Amino acid sequence: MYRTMNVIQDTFRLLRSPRAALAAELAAPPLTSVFFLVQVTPLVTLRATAELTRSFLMGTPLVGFVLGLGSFVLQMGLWLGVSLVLPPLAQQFRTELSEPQAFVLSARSLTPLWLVGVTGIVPLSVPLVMLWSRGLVLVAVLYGLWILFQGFAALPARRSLQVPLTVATAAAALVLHTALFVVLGIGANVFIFLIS
Amino acid sequence: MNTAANASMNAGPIDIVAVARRAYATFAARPITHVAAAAIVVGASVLTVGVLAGPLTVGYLLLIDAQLDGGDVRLDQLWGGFELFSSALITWLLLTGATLTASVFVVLPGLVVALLGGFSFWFVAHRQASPIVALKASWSLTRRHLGSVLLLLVVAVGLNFLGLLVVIGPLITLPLATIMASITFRQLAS
Repeated sequence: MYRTMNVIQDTFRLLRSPRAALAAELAAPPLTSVFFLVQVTPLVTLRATAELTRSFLMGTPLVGFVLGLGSFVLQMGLWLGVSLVLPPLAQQFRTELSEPQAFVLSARSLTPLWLVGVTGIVPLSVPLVMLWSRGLVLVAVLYGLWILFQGFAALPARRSLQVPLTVATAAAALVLHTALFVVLGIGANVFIFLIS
Repeated sequence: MNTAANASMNAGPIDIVAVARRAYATFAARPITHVAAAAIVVGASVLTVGVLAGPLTVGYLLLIDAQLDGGDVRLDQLWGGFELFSSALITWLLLTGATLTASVFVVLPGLVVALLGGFSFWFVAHRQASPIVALKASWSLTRRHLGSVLLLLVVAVGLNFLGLLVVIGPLITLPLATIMASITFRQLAS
């Protein structure tokens, strides 16, 4: 219960004032394993849980399990990939970033996208609903980029390089997400084919 | 000039922009050779269901190596990989098998195995390593420079995504990505 309150309080603090929240966290990043268990895992499981719940309600539990698991692995893989790529990518822009800082910064910038994952419980059969859901995702991605930019400013990265570094990180995240999505999509389809 | 270029890039973490620039210059010096080599490697690998993938990949790496050293570059250098046929084939079989096996556990471990074993062909080509030694060396090298290798992979994959937008694009982006990996290997393994 205490840890749940921590995650909720930290998330609200981040969304209200990203620069202040990140300045404190990046100055003294927590132990990565603890951060992963306490902060990252609960947020990453939001979309997976939502999709699983939706599928159970619609009477397709197996599909829901595959989609939920795939979603969890995709989000977790994206977080790990961006975290590992961030330090050498930041060095290309003459910015020093340690691995613990990278894990924190990538998680915080993905937080809006993870939160929006709860909309996965809504069926997307109605076009307006689908449009609303995708619009929310877009807003979440843009706010995540803003959080990332604030994080680089809090580090601090060179002022003139903050925007290029944010753009480069976004491009890297897009490539990682697309590659993981394709590979996991093929894997999920193969699994469903074998099971059925 | 090539030695100086290698030396300047050997200090510290990889400079991905410098690697990309040098890779482009290398490709642009002999574009027909590289496009033809990439087409042969991919085509023959598909036609032989992967049997020739390892040896031809090693051959292409030897061709790139010869050009980076400022030596003569000919398409028939591709067959140099056949002198290391058994090592290259077994390395390919072991890496593919390990990747597919690890992929059973929700795909991600398979990607990790493929990433960690990715440089094994370079060890076969440049150090004439046996399959197990090559895989272990690749594992060790990638773990020591995980961030840099992942950054290289992201750039290479992004490049090939862009290449896929044009139907024949991969014929250019695949050799470019391979040359970038060769330059990075030289820097990280030195």
